[in-house]
Amino acid sequence: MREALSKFGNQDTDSDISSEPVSIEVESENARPVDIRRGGIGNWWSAAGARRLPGMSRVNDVGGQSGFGSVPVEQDEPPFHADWEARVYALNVAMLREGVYNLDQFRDAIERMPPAEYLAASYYERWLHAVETLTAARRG
Amino acid sequence: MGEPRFAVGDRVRTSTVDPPHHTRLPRYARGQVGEVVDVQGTWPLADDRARGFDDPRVEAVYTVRFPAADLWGPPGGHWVQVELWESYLEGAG
Repeated sequence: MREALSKFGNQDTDSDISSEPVSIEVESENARPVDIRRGGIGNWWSAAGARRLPGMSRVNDVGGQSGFGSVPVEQDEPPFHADWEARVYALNVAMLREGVYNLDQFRDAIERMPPAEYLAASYYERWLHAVETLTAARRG
Repeated sequence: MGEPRFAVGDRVRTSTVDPPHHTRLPRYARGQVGEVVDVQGTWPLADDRARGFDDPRVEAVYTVRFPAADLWGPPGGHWVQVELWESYLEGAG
């Protein structure tokens, strides 16, 4: 889940803060088993679904949402797929370290992207959008 | 910041509120009952930092686990752990 969410920019967006609170899924032998034959798929939406419709949410908050397919895992994936991505990364780290904005303001700026733009943007395109938004707001 | 309000083993219910700013409680875990499995010390509340507050609340952060089936229905069979600030939680007996 952590890996999946990070693809949508909701989770760790800076390698410097790997100790920050995160969400993970864990396998456990103690997990409560669910008997599909007795209860299962036929009415799961009425049991669990009724309680999990908290209403609004920002576009980034797609955890558990269907339709996006699996998260592709690239073998030997390089840190960056283009030079500009590395520059955006460095720019953001510099802004954070200089205290121009903090990491949560950065995440907030990504989440405020227009939903259609957000979904169409790549990971580092979202980063660039946030850097631009936050620095423009400060200059203004 | 006083002592953490919850302890390992406590049952807690998460907030149903979707705030108009960055938060660390994901939609799929809102309004759910889970169990505290760890207390992670204290952290500045991300929601306050996201809004640029000079003096963000500093609160206990808990690792809370939920049966996956409660969040997404069967087949489940595993737990989902989320690290949550105290503001997101209330006691669930």
